[in-house]
Amino acid sequence: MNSYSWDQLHVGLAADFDVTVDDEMMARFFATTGDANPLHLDAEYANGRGFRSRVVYGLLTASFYSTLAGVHLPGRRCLLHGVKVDFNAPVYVGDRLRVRGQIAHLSEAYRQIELACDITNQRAEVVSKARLRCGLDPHEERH
Amino acid sequence: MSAIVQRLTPLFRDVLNDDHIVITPDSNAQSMGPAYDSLAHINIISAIEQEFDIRFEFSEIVGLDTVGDMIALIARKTTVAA
Repeated sequence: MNSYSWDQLHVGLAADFDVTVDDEMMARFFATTGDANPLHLDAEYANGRGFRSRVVYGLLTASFYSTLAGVHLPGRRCLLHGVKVDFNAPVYVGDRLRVRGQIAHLSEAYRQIELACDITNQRAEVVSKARLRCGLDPHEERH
Repeated sequence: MSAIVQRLTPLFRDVLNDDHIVITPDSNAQSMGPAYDSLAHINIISAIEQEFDIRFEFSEIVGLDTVGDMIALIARKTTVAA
């Protein structure tokens, strides 16, 4: 886990990681949220809606932005203030995703950073874009 | 309406999630209602920095009471007329 301090952060600093969405993630997401929409659970139904298989929950995909901020950039000291996210293309079980973020702005006054992020699949298609706003826990600066 | 207010209005509407909010130089945190909390304030400061390509020091913004105070500060840090 990264643990950037404020002084180590700068515009352009970037991080990324890869993750593959699997059936277990989908089952756990369903169990946690209760989102029983058949688009995510029933391949036949999803086919009928024009998708090649059941579609991964958008917010399961977006949950990797939490990992990006909380583990990678800025990491341990992160306090997630907000997320604006778009879902640009469907994600399917088995897709290999690359989650990327880069600091687009630092606001010194209140020590908030803004990350420009995206998620691409194994075909380099952008499946999601997001802007994350994060603070740094001032108490953690002492550790 | 001043050029600065014209550029501030969409920022406030976006951060406060209110497409109808009208800001004036007399607007303050209280007049903008409960949506204007401390996190909204931080987000607006960051949005203003990006919109006007300026940077604020904490000491510059801690004493701001009204949107008019903010307009004057932006005008001092840019060439945009208040």
